[in-house]
Amino acid sequence: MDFLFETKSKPTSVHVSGNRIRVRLENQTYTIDTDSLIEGLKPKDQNLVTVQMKDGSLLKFLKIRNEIFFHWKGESWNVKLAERSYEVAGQTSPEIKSPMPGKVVQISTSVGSEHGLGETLLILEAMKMENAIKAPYPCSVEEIRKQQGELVQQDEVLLILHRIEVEKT
Amino acid sequence: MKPIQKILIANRGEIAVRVIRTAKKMGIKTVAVYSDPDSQSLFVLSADEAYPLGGTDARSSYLNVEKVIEACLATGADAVHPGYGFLSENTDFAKKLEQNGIRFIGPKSHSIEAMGDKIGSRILVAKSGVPVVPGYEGHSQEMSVFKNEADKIGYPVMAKASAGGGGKGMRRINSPEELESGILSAKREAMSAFGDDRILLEKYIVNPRHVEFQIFGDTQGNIIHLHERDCSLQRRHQKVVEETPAPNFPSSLKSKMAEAAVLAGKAVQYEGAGTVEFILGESGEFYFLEMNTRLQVEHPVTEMTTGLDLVEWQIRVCQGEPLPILQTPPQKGHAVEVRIYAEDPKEGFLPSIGKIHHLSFPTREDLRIDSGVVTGSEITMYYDPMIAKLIVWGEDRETAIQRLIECLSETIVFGPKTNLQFLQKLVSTKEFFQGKVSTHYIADHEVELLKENTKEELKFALAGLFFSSKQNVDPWIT
Repeated sequence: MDFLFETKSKPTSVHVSGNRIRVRLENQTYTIDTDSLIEGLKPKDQNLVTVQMKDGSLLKFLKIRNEIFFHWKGESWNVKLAERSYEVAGQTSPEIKSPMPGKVVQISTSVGSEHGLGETLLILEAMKMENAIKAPYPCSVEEIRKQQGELVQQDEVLLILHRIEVEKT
Repeated sequence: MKPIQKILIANRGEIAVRVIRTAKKMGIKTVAVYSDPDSQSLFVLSADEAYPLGGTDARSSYLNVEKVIEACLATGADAVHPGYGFLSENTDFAKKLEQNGIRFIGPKSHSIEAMGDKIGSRILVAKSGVPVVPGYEGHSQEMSVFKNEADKIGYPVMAKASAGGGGKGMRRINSPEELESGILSAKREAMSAFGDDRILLEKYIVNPRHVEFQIFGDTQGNIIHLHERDCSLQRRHQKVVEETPAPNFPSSLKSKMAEAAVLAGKAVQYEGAGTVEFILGESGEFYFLEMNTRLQVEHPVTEMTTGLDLVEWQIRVCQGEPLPILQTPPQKGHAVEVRIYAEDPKEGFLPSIGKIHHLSFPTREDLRIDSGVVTGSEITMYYDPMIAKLIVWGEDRETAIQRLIECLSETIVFGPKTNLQFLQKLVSTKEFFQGKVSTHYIADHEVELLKENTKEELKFALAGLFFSSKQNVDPWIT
């Protein structure tokens, strides 16, 4: 059985066959044998499915629609099942979206400006704190969609960037 | 003075739940006030009565003095507990309550006024002999004046909002080149958070610790301290971990600082619960930072080690009763508090909003959970995204930290992203164990603290396995 999960950059494919799981992450493939990992199911704990692992630890999880939340060894994470078409999507979006609702308090760039990785492009105020939106890669600014003082919603496009490829020598 | 019959809590979330708990214990009725997004919140359901303020954001609800007073009159509440934040240090609110014959569970408005202004409070406590950080607190807000003064103080300097609190409106300025942008940025944040953009400058103390003293005063003029709290672990000037007693803290230094804390309280004839904050330098020099004229987020560590209920003391002092004890009580064991937030450490700790699909904490005697949310609650964009405070007690510091690590690893929050793993890493560091941290520790070690534990491929493998198991292919059973 094949699955595709959403990640920040690329989707990750997982193939499950019997007690073997194959994960393809970036350009590498990992194979995991479930028999060496999992002991068996335990009774549900506060609505969470609980799995006894071979090393004595407990793994708890909850599935909501196409998302699963895990808790194991003190760590929590979640994965989302992705659409197949995501596989061919571009690697790095030129659109810089607002990570949450807030207000643009400062624009530290202008159209045509060039920036190195991590340079501040814009300052967004949310929860009364200023948060710097930084260049995710070396880029030049193609378009500034918002103005200083403007309120923005989550995922609204703030800037359009053009990626500057590093010259190979 | 007549005993209080009904308390309206002019706040929300965990602190509202906390106040309701004590009021119930004392047989006092409670009223919750709430905004539209909070109508189904735990604190609303826990109170005896609930009164809608309407509105969504804080400004149109919890910060609206007229609406809160109207709620007091409509419900017949004879006292208001303001919690912390919101109207807790608003003199206008305290005065209006007084005019309406409603008691404010907190200090008199003159004390709030005196300590609410960072400039005024520095001058006031310095007069009574409490050391203050060298700085500039003059009236002029001209850039040229700031430049001259910063040169006199010597870089680095700290720009601070005069009306500040909670780390908002503060900027470290390292050199003359950074001065203008630093001050403008601090002013913007101050205006947005407090509606007042006045800034003061202070000498920046390198690698300082933040040690504060809980003080308590009554209407008879008694003021005592209830020991210190070490709040050195901070992120962007917001406290992350708090503990008592402070580690590596010589008793001679403790008594000097405690004495200064009580002096600061006396300088404003303080009544009720207050906290005197100090900055402690590497060679034992300490300076007054500010005084918070309210209960603080981290008050439970004091309660865990003294066995006192500070909210009960607040209510009794408000009723005119003398402090139940007139000497600092002994401390038993060690307590540590961490604040669990719905935030994404990997995205610069941006608040992470959304529904909490599952929330559970371990249950044990040495653990206290102060929370305003449950499974099914929403973390909204309108308010502080705190999920809970986790407070652990131990016979000694090592035991308390060990238990805290266990409790954090057993706490489960599914839904919004949280700082749980970050906190686990933080309290597991060698430096924290040794009590060798300063207020810069987190900023200096952020990269290590944000590393993930579980291998990425294993996470996806597990996900694949459980998705397939949900489709009746059960690879680990069959």
